[in-house]
Amino acid sequence: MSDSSVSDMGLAAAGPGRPIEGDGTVVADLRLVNDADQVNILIVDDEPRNLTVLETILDSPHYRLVRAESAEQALLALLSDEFAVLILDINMPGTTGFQLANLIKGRKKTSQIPIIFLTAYFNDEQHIVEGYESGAVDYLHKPVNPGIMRSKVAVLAELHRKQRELENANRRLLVEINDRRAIQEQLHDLNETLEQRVLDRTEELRESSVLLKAVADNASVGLAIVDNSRRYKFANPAYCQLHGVTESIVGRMPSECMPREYLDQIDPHLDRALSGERVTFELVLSAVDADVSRTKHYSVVYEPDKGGKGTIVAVVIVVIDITAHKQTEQHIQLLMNEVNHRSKNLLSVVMAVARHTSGSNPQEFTKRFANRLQSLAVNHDLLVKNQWKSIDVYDLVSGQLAHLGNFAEQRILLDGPRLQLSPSAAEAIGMVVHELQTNAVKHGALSTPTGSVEVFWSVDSNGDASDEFRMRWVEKGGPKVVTPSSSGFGTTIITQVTEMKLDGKVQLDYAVTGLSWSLKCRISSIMDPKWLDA
Amino acid sequence: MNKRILVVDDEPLLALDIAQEITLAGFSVLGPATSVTKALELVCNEGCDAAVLDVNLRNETSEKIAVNLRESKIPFLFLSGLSRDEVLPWMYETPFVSKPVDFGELFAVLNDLVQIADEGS
Repeated sequence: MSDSSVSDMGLAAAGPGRPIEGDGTVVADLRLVNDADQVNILIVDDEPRNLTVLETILDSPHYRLVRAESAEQALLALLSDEFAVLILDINMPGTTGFQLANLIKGRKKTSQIPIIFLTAYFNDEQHIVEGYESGAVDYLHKPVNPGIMRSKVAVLAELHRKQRELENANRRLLVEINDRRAIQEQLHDLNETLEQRVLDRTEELRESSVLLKAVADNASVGLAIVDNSRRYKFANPAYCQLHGVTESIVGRMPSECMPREYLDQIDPHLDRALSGERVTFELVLSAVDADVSRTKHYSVVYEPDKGGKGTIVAVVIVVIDITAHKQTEQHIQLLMNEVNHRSKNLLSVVMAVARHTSGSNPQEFTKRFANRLQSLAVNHDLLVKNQWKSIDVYDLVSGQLAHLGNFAEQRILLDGPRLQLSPSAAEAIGMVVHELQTNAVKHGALSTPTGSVEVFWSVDSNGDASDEFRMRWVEKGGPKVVTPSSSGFGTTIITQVTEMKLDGKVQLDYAVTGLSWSLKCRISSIMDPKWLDA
Repeated sequence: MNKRILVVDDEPLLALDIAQEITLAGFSVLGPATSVTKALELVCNEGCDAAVLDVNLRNETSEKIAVNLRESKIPFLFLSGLSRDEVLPWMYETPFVSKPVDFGELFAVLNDLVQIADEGS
C-alpha cells in the first residue's frame, strides 16, 4: 500500500513518513453550515502532506480542521479552542504522539477529548498498549482508510455535538432554573414585604383603635353612633352615664331605651342629621324628682357620617354636660340681680339719710352726711369680707368705733359673746352704734376727758327660738344729761327704725348720769336660722 | 277726712321716710308695715283707701297683699328697686314707681289712683 496516491475516493495509503499527495487546500468550508453545528478537529502530524491528506479525507462543512505540525502547535491550539476529536500522529520528532497524549490527558480541561492515534508501524503491539494507556479511544494505521477514518470521526464528532447540545441544554436549563429561582425569590420578597406592610398597617390600626377606645372610655364627653336605621352602633360609658342608662344600648333604638322627654327633644334633630345636616342643639332633662336645681343641660352635636358612597350611613353624636356652666351662668345672673337690688336699696337708704340729715350750714351737713355714709360703708366692708353672710357683733361694733382710734380702746368697753348677726341686723345695729357714738362724742360721755362708755350684749337662753338678744349702750362720767326738747333723725334711727327692723323693743333713757340705750328682740330677728344651731 | 294710705316696705328707714312724706302731702298713713303678715293684718282690721307696696319683703313678695287689695278693689301701686324688665306676671296692670323714689312721681300716681277710685264709687 505504499506510495499510493490519495484520492477523494479514499483508499489512500501512505507509508510511514511519506507525505500525503494532494494540493491540501480546503474548499468545503464555503458551504453553508451553522457555526454552532460545526465541530473542531485537531489534526497533528509533523508531515504537512499527511495533514493535507487528512484535511481531504475529512473535508466537510460540519468540521473545522485545525492543523498542527508539532506537539507545541497542538498544545497552543488546545489552549484557544475546544475540540471534538484529536487525530494524532504517534511518530513525531521531539515530543511523540504518546507523550503529547499524556500531556493532554493530564490536563483537566482537555482530558476528555477523544484521541485517534495514527501510526505507520503495523501491528506494533507495544504501540497499541501505549496508545490505550494514554487514554486513546482509537488507533488507526497508516495509510488511513478514509471511510473508516470518516466514520470514526463522524461518530466522535456526533458524540461531541450531542454532548455540546446537552451542555447547552443544561446551561439553558440552569439559566431557566436560575431565572425561576430569581423570580421566586422576588415573589418571596414581595410577599414578605406585603406581609410586613399588612402587619404594620394592622398594628397601626390596632394602636389607633386602642387609642380611640381609651379616649372614648375615659372621655367626660358622651359619644355615640346611631346608624341610618336609628339603632345605636356604639355608645361610650360617658354617654350612657349622662343619659342614666345602665345596660348596653348597642343594637337598640333611642325609642326603646330613652325617656319620652328625651325623645321629644331629639327626634326632629335626628331626622335632620339623617338627611345630611350637621345639627347642634341644647338638651334639657329634668330631674326625676322635678328638683329644678338638678335639671341637666347638655350641648349636643349630630354629625352625619357620609359613608364612602356619599349616602348617610350613620350619625355621630357628641354630648357635653353643660349643667355646671349653666348653673354658674344662673348664679352669676342671680348675683347680678342681688347686687342690683342691694344697690338700689342702698341708694334709697342714702337718699332717706340725706333727706333727714340736718345741719346748721352746708359744711356741717356735708360732714354729718359723710359720716353716716362712712358708717354704712364700714358695714359693707365687713359684710363683703364675710361673703355677705354674717358679721360678729364684736367686729361690727369695734368696726363702727375704729375711726376713734386709741381713744375708743381706752374709753369704750365692749363685752359680750361671739354672735353672728345677719346682714340686715348688722346694718340696723351698725347704724345705731354710729348714731350713739356721734352723739356721745358731740354731747355725751366721750365729749369730756373722763367719760366712758360700756357696750354689753347677751343672749337669754330659753333653749328655743324664743331666745332673746339684749344689747345695751351705757354712758358714764360725761356731762349732766338733759332730755332734748325735740328728737332728730338720729333718734328715729336708734328707736323707731331699729324696732321696726329687728321687730324688737328699744329703750332710750336720758338719765342725768349718762345716756343709756337698750334693745331687746328675738334672736331669730338678728341671726340667720342656720347660725342659730351653732 | 284724709284718705288713708297703707305703706309697706321692709326697710324701716324708707318706710318711715315715705310715711312722713305721705303725711306731709295730706294723707293719713296706715302702718308702715315691714312684713306681709303685718300688712294683711292692718288691711283686714283697719282698711285703707290706697296702698304703696314694696315688692320684695325680706324672704317674701307682696303678692298676697296685692291679691287681697285687688279683691277688695283697693287701688295700689308698686314702689320697688326692681327693673321694669323684672316685673312679674302678678304685677301686671298695676302702676310701678322705681326706687330710689321720686316723690313727685309717687304722688302723681297716688293722686290718680285715689281720684279714679273716687269717681268709680
